[in-house]
Amino acid sequence: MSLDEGMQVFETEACELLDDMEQSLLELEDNPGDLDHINSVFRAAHTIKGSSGLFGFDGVVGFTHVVENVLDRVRAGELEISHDLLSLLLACRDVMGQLVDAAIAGQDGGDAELQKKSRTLSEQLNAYLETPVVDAVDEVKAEEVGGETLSTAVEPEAEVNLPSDITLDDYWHISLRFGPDVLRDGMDPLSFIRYLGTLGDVANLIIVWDGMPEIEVMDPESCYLGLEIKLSSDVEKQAIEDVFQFVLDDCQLRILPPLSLLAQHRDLIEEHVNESMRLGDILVESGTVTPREVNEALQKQADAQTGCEPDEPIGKILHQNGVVHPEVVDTAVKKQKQVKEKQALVGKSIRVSADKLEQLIDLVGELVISSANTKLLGNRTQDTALIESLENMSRLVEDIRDTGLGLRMVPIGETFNRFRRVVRDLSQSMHKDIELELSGGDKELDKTVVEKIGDPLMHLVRNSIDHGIEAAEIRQQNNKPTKGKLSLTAYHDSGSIVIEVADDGGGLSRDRIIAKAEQQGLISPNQTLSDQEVYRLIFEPGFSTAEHVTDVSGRGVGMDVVRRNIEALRGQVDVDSWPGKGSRFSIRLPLTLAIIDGFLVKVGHSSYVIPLDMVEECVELPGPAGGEQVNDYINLRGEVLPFIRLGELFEESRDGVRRENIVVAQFAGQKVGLVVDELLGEYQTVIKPLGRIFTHLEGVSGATILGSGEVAMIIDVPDLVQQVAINGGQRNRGGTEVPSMLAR
Amino acid sequence: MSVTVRTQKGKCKVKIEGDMTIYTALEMKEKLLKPIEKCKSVELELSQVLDIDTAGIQLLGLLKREAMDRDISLEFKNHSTTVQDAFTLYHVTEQLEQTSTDP
Repeated sequence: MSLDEGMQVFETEACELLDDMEQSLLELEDNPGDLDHINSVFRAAHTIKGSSGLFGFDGVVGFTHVVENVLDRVRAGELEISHDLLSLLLACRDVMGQLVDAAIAGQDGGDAELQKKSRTLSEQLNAYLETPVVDAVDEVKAEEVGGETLSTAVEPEAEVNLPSDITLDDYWHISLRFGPDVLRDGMDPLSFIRYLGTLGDVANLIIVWDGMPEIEVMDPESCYLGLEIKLSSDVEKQAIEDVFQFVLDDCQLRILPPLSLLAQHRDLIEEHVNESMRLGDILVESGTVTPREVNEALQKQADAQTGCEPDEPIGKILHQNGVVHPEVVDTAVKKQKQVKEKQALVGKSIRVSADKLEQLIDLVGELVISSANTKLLGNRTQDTALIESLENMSRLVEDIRDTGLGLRMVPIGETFNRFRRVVRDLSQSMHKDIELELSGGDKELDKTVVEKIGDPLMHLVRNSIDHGIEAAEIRQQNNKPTKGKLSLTAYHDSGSIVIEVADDGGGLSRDRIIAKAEQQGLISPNQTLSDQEVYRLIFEPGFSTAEHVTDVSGRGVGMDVVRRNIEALRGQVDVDSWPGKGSRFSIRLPLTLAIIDGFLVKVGHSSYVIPLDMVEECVELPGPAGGEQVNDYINLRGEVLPFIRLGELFEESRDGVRRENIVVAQFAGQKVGLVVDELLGEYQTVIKPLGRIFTHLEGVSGATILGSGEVAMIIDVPDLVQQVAINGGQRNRGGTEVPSMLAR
Repeated sequence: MSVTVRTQKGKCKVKIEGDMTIYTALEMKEKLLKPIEKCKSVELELSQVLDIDTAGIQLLGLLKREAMDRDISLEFKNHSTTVQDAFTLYHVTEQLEQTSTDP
């Protein structure tokens, strides 16, 4: 790996670690005592320091070291997490990020401003340390910068609990200490020894009399004995343990495998452990310890756990108990680490450049089209074997399409998480107490969409904090909890994902919006508008009702940009508001931008595709084709369903059409009927964007290529639904309104 | 189980008949302690021991320790096969056979 590549890895890694660190710090705000998060913050700082050291970024190392010192004291329980400390640490995290960027850009330590900033923070950090760190950089150089060492698992000085006269040789060492009731319970250790003799050769046995009390108090029915046995046998450890299974509850049993098995156990570990396992399981698998011994050690570990002390490694406890050789534990720990590393590489994720993915998706798109074509040709031959094989293939293609698209799907949660910091900082700077609620973070959507939705969301969130949620005093006056609530929610709804930004603030003021809109000439004074229409006005260019311009928002740019950005993603933004109770912005986005399941229909001589997710049902249009319905409504099971004749909308010549069908499409709770001539059925649709000239085309959102090579337009259902909603019943067939095939 | 003690010139000959097991341990401790308390030299005749278990071995061990502490010579004689087996299994023959005069 060249230095450049290394640097790139460092940059990505640092970025991720800093993100983790921020998340954990924010979590700590809610749960100040959470050890996991404290450790994860510490780990992030520690690793960044370590890898910066590798590149010789002393500026990063020096600053991070101070941060780490403070974190170390937090971890040791000497420092409590306070709000101030968290704010300081968050600021430090930002400076760390800037330092890393500066170092990568070739200016280690950053410019004068950054240096000043990091110095100020270091001083503040030092205040948290009893003894101020004199020269952080030098101190770090002295100590080891690399990662943690393995030896934590087994310390060499750990003592084995064996009597001195038994040395490590080629025997199993069995050490038994009986409980007092063994004899009384009808157990006779003699029989165990006798049985042990059947497993192998008892080379030596020493009765340990040490436990026997003075003759006067000695109870002849109690057992005071211990046994040290050397056994030469080639059975499994478990088999030996089983000999004593009836007294296990009432005695201490330690079985140390012979040295000759050591190599074997180590080999077993090397060869057979290939998946991520817990250390205890690895050791059991190799036969060097039994499950009982591991449980005992775990119990001991749990018992010993006190507050903030890190757990004693299980390997060390096993070793102290004298049931395992340290070498085997070492092997197991190493192997465990290897496997973990391997899995981290293979199992977790692979970094692939977005271009390659893009290319793959393009190719999948082409594959879908060409397989449709092949299928068409195949069907013409009426060769059943061929058709069957083609069916098979198209199913596979479908799978490839889904998997391929799945590759680009990422959960929205990461984007959501970014807002926790935003909300925290903003609410502090505006002296508002705001709680952020996130839900649906696991919902996935296309990576491109996720990337592009960040900015509009940011705008909406800022807007809610600034204009939506009132100051604490006003909230109190209005009998609302002083703590404002902002929620980000994502959920799936008929082929789209809906992201909502809701607050429990004052809501939008209808009057003020109308006044402002009149002033700006967006509406005429005597226009009657529904609430929805009024609220939508805020998305018009140049519209802002804020009376005070703050640094957060209110400059009158924004909402229109939000709408434009979202529409560029084939999405829609909508707003609901309840005066005094809050407002809710919903962003509705298509799940993917590339390939969809479509419903192919025919109008005149052309084919059209309606996104299948939005198709509710199909019904036959009553009456003769091109019949003289007076209005554009039908009665659909007692419901009024407005419909649009696609033939007219797109001015298709429609000679010889005998029957018409209505495809009932649904979007955002609104239904609209699309009158078509023929229903052709489901069709995998690769969306080809329309050229620039057609950007303002209404009613279609894109095009696709059919198997036959023909082009089919993709119907923009949201647009049509909106047209129907706006025009209401006014549009008459062939009336004054010209079918809007023309640009706006 | 029965223990018969014959004293001859300060030397006690103790004969154990029957079982030396957990069931007889309490009684046996009592009976076996007496000769140790009054004799300087004790001989345990084990030929008539029908059964011995860990409790019995433990008791013999106790006697041995006590005898050594008090500087009394304690000898085990004519072990029955059962006793021999148990001694071998426990590898205690050597331990229990040594007399107080040994170093």
